[in-house]
Amino acid sequence: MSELTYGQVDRDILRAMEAPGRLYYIVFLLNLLVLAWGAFAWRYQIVHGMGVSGLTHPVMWAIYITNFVFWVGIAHSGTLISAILYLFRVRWRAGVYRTAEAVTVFALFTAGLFPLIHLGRPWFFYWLLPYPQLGGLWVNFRSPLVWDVFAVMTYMIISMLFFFTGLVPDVAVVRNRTRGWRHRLYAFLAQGWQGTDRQWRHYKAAYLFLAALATPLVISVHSVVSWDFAQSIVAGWHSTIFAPYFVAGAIHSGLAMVITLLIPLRRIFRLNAYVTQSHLENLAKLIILTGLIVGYAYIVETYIAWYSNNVPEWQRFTFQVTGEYAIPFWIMILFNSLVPLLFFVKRIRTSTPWLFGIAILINIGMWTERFVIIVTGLAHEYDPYSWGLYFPTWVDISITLGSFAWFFFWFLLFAKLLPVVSIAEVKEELPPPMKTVGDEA
Amino acid sequence: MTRPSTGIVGSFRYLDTLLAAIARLRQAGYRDLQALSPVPHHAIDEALHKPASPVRVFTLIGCLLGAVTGFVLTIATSLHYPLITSGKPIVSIPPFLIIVFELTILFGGLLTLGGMLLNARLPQVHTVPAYDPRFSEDRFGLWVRCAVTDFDAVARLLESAEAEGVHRVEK
Amino acid sequence: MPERWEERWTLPPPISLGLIQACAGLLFLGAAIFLIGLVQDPARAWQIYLVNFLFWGGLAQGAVVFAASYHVVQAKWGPTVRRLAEGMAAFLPVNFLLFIPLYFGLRLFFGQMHELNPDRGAWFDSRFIFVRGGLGLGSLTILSLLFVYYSLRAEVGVALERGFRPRRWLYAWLADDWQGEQSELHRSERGKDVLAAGMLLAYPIIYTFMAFDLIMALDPFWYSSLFGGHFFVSTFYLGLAGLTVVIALLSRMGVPGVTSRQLPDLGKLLFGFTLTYAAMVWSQYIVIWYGNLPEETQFVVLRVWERPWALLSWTVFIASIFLPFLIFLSRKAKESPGIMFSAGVLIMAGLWLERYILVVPSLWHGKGAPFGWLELGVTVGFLGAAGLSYGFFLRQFPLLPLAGTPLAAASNPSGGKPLEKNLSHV
Repeated sequence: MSELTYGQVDRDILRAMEAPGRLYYIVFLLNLLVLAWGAFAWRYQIVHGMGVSGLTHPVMWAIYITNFVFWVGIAHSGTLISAILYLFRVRWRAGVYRTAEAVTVFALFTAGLFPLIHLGRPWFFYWLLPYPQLGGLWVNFRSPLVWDVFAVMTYMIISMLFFFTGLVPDVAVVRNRTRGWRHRLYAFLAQGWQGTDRQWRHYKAAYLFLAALATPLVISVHSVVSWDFAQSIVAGWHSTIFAPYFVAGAIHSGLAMVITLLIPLRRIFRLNAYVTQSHLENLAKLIILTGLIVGYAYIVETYIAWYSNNVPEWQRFTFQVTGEYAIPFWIMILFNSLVPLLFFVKRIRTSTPWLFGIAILINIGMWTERFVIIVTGLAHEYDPYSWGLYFPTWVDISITLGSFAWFFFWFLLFAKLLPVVSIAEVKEELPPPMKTVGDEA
Repeated sequence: MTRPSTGIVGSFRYLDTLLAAIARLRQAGYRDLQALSPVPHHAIDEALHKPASPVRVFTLIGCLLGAVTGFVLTIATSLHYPLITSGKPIVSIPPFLIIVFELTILFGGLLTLGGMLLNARLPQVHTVPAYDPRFSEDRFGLWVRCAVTDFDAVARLLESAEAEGVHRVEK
Repeated sequence: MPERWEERWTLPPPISLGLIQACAGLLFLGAAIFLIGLVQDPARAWQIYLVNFLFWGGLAQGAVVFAASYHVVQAKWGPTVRRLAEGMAAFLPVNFLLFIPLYFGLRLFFGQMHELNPDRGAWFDSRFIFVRGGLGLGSLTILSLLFVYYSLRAEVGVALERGFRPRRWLYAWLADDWQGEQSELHRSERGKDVLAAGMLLAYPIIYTFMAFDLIMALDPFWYSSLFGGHFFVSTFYLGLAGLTVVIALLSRMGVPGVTSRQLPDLGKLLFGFTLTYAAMVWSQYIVIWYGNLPEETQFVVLRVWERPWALLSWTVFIASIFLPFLIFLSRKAKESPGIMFSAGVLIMAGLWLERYILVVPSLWHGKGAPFGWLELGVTVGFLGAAGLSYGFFLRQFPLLPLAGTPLAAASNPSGGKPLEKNLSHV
């Protein structure tokens, strides 16, 4: 990256924002169709009631909550890369941080839909917020579901703040080079940024503190989401390890999603100088770490299921391993903890096709993990009389596909309207232009 | 003494020439300087001797405000309409701490942004007259506020520090 | 700071012989008190032995795991920190030897397990626990020692090759069969890569099961899946705190090579672990609190609500979490050796008390909290043993890597880039 100049950085990254070709429009349109179908399915569910989905006794939480936890998890790696790696002064984050942060924001947009989707009467969603009401009734702050509202809402707002703050200097560059409606749009977003030392000073301070705030936030958010399950006494859910286990899993799936998106992005926009092989390799190494933590959690959960001498806990565990949902269970074990170990091999983690393939498998594995935890926990609780199974209906599946389309809708817009690599940060990582090149290494 | 609205802008291709110019101008008594750059650099801040950003104070106040709000919101509403749920006490601190934590971060973040906007004077409707789009791309700029009578002296200083271009702003 | 590399090897060691002798004295004193206590009240003697075994062994192991992590992430900010951390490995074989007599304590602790919990009786047979604990501890000790061996061998070998004298028997043994600087340095790096990775894989698993077997199992019915994680995180935290104490002390004493410049970085790391440790404790607490299941809550209630343990629990919270959090928020505090020393000691004391409060209430059925000359004596004895082994290490090996070698260049914190961003914000 050291042969790059500031000017070159501008040219390369802004080139990606030129008017899109036909392929883009086709993909966008197809995506829009899937989104429309998903919206139709949701409308159908609202009109005809929750019975059209597969949710029923005893598995009242299934695919919608799976999607919710999945998307909140995806959001985590963005904040890891943008905030946590910033605090550790890890330099390679500059090329990938913008895309990762965009993934966070859009994943949260998607995750935020699901608490609404799985409400029986979604038009009453505002009952989740604490507002003074005539009857004097407030939300139940003792409930993990309300903690969820606060945690995810805070996370969404802070991520959006962080994202837009980071965008301002970049958008100023774009603003300078565009005309017409684009110029007005970017001028508005850039808020009059001129890069004066005063603006930079306060910007850097704010950025640092937002990063410092986002770090404990991100750990707390998925811990709170995990407590949706762990606070109950459902066998297999009530486990103290859930909080760090879910956080590690979230980062695991998020990193995989970032790799899945970066590889086509760098190919299509020819950004190989910015999103380099070593960036992708570093992400793969992080995946090894998170995969190992997830594997550790699987081992400990198994041990404690046996150790606890708790009959319902143990039979739920055996149901997971050998029951009707055994295939998803073994997919989960294989894809999440064993497949990522392949990244120990240098040849694999430096090969783009392998990276892409393994990242897809991890995404599938992590989605399946949420499904397995939620559904098997509810399918086999304490009372054998109330055991039952869950099968998704067309409504469930359509809405799930629609949510992926919703995510990609925003991501496709982002890819064309905003710089996908952070111009200012990449420039910061380059050595500044010096007249006397004397003491440069 | 009012701040002069006239001045000179020097544009520099290299960072060390910019730093040298800043040093010379400060030595000659011209202290009302603003640097424009595509990237921040601690050396520029050090050369300009500007005070550290007070944004951290906003963050702290935001966090404290959030914490207090969290406690007040949860405890007051629980006492307002006391309903026993899950057999937990009416004022159960452990779950309330989670709400407190989230609001601490939320208010801290919002006030941090507010602090930045306030201090950086964003959104900025009137652009600094010295601004040139190249200063966001690959050039450094130095905006020296001075009276028209000082223009020549300042221009000479800038050129001696190898400025690429010198532009006078008279308005 | 001596520039000529030979001088670094002839510096007076930071630990004086007198201090070593004092540690030996403490060790003998502690051993004597322990033996007396063993005769009078074996249960009480063995429980405090276990607490100290977990504490001092954890301190050493945590520091060595830090050295391994430092190597794996290829950090460069503190070469002396790395050496000081590696030095704590000297206590690990001693710790392993101290595990062996613990067998008799285990017999006492798990004697009643069959009656209380017949289903798990076989798993908690004290011989089985002893064997698997010994295997785990032994493998981790061997991995740690091998890691430090490779680290030291490279330097000692280069020094001997360049004709440095005097030769001690230890140096000759370390650099045995020296193949020449180039290939040996390469071999050391490869060895350290493998061993550090191995340690980082083994440590969480082994310490998890150590926590499950030696602490969690003392209560026949309680379980918490995060307990293992809590223990290995708190042990790493302990290692960091101990390292901070050593560095703050040595920099204050003016030992060449140890600067207080590394303290802010250590301080930030410590701050991160204060929060991580707090998260581990909280994650267990909130889940157990909310579920309100008696089989889980009785462990927590005993320690957090009932006298006299409640007082101790709150002390642990204040000493290991609350005060360090406040201290580490301030940038100035992290730069001051005095404050960092106190913070480190505070955290260590808090974590000692934490191990006490995890172990003792499960075993002690008498009145009040046992803390008398027996507890003090055994603690002091372990302190002596740890000080003795660590001091021995520090007297044998220089703190700085050899100047002019690739090792030194690789670990030079200011490796040749003058315009590198300033690393001292926050």
